[in-house]
Amino acid sequence: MTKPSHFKIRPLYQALALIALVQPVYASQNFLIQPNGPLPTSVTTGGSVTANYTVTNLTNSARNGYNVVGLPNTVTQNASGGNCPAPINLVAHASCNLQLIISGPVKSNFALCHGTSCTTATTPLNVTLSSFSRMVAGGTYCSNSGCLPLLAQTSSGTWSYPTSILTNLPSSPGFSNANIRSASCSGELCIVAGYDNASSTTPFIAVSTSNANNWVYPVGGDGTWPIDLTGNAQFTSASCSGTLCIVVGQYFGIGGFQQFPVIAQSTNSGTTWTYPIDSTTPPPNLFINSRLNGASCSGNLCIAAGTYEDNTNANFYALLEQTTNGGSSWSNAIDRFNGPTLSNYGSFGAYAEFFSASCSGLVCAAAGQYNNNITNIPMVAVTQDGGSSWNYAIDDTHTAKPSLFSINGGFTSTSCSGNLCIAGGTYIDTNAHQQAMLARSTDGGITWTYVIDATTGPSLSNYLSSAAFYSVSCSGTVCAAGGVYTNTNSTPVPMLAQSTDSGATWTYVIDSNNAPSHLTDFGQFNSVSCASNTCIAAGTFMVCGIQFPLLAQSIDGGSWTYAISDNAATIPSNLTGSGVFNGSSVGSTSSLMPLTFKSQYKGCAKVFNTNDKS
Amino acid sequence: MFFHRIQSFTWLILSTCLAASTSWAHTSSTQTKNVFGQHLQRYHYILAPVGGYVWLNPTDEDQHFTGTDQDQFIYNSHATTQHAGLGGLFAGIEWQIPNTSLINRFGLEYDYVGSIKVKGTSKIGVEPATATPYTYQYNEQNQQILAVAKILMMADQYYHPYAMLGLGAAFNRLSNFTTSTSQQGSINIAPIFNSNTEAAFTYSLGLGIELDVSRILSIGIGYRFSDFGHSTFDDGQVSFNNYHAEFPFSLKNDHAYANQIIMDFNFFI
Repeated sequence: MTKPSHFKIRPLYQALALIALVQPVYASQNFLIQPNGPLPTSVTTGGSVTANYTVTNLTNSARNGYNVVGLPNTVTQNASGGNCPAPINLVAHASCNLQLIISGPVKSNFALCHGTSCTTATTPLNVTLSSFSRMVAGGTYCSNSGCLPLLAQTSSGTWSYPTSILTNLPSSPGFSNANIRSASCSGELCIVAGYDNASSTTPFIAVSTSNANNWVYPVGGDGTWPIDLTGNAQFTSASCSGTLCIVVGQYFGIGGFQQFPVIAQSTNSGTTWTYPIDSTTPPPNLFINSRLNGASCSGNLCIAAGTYEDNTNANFYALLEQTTNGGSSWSNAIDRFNGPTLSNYGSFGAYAEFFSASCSGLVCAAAGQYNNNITNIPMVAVTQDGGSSWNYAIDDTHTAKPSLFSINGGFTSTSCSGNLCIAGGTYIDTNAHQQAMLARSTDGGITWTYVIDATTGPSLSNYLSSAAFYSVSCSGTVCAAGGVYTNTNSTPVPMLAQSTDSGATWTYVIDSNNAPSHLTDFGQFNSVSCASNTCIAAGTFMVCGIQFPLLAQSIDGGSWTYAISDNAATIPSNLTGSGVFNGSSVGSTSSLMPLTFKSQYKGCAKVFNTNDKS
Repeated sequence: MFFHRIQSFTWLILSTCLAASTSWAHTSSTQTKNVFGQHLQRYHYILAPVGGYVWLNPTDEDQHFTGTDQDQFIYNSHATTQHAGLGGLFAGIEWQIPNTSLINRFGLEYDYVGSIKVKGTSKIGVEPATATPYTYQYNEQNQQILAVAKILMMADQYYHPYAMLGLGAAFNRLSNFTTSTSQQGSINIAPIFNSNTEAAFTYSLGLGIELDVSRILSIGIGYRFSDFGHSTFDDGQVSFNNYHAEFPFSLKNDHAYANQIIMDFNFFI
């Protein structure tokens, strides 16, 4: 530090100072420190974002030894790669790019200081913790070279299509008709699962972790399946919790006679996989068919739910397999001989099937339908003690049917968050109208009420018929339910209902009034996922015979907008059609790609050109 | 150094008073009667609350510091005369100077002056063109303890003009320093100075007149000029969020001149 120079200014300078006082005040500082490009506004848990500032020495002499001060330790300076060094040294009127790496929320300005000489930046950092970590949506699309896995992802709010999902496809067997059916994210870890309908249907699992753009296939190549798997295999549902992941489905064993439920399991964030459930652990008295449709993990508790055919009476029994020790061992919580009894379940040729499962803490729900000797009716099995005991909370004698119930009712999806559980599906009412239904429980699944049915809940715009919820999701107090209904133009349109008060009240945030504007033939949501107050709804819609993937999102409680549609800027460049999202997941906290529709569309007169990105 | 000067003046006053009293003790006195026809006692103890109004003018001098990397800190005081109230208490003794109509009064006085606000402007930067302009203000508050010597003329039965001299110590506090700029965007950061109370040599000179109200009370009013002396802030610091750098300079005032109208109520014991 310079030895103090402490002297009194005489009248001449006083005059000059006075003159300076009466002059207009222009901005003046030793450094100008201003943003170089847009500043980040959110960061995901475990992630990082970058902020760039241009630092300019405005003085006529060199300024050396200045450091960035005033920021929390979640913000660090990247002094490499041509950025400003640390400390910063600049000759007169020189500039450099100051790059800050932000790994946590920060709301603060910063300064460059050298001892008592400090200059602040023009614009402070204001980065909030996003409500989600990663979001993925998986499905399929077709190009000129076949039908490929469709995988869109984001960790900052901007969706992209990682090329590694295609470039890392196992070379053997060949993939020509790959379809992602389910996705699950837990923090930085995301997995997708599905199958390829090449010469024989073979399943696959793709994983990405800290490097979000690097997707690898630990399961999918030769030798990565159960030893007796030769084909006709599908993975249908995936779930991760921490480093524990399961993927469920079914496959035909040697000879192709019996279809076995299969559970693939990883305890190391998807790096390696084992098969605790395969043809060696069949359901009791398995006849021919069995399948697992839903999977869910919460902590060390995982459940897999589906159905299987008994060889003594040809009944299809509800099947629920579970582990309570992180996959060390599995058992059947519900089958013909275990678990609660379904009311009025038939004795021959009966049918019961779970389509979806969800766990949150010690509460789990498995939802589906069964036949009560009259018709298919909704069914929900629940546990409040982490799988120690199960009971049917919704069946023929537990919980009244939805309003005007007539026939063919069932749940296709269920979701629990704490003690809040919802289940969505469809049924035919006494007026022969297919109604969407949504049941809700706030006591861990013990009691249920229908909050959406033929006479309850919000009104669907231009409803004609065929309403159904295909997927539901709750996180905290936010819930979403997606599906389809047919409007008065006889067009199936996507439908999305949302609640922000733990399912007590609902509104249709997407229906016929705000369906994708170019939709001509149909549209629907197949998968909905929420984490905190960020939700996505993924599906598909058709424009003049071309099928496009569809994804709508609400980031941090904001309004819903379409992030992926027929806008060429939002879809893979080689898409020719058959684009659909089947599964989606919001990991836990975004910027939307703005939705821009081409105004030159006039009905189907203009054929969509995949090379047209204007 | 300062306290040595105070000690020296105190002994000077005491010795003067002692010599005067000794002289008086050895001279025949011409007793004087007050307005009530009473012969004045040889001495009185006096207790006098003091009140008044002060026009205070801190010295208007500019200051300039050089910080790290040739960063210049230039302060231009725009101190104007501020006014404040004064309250105090005098305790002493008076006696008649023999063979004169003069009364010598000596004692100690404590005064408390109300706080005033001092304002100014500053510029922080390496060069004038890169300097960020600021305004600043702070509070100054003064107290003093004086050894007072007052000579009163008893020629008139009612009115007694006087002259006084006070020497002592002032305790000058500078506090509540704040600074701000209207400049947006990047700004050079100005230091904040820590409050401080400084002891300084002070003197007072005054002229006035007293009126005998009763046997035990007289009221005086007069003009007094004081210089409360030196005041300074403690060392400052440049701070920004969790960053702090010591600023080894401090703003100061060399003098604080005070013009006062003083009233005192002298109770004779």
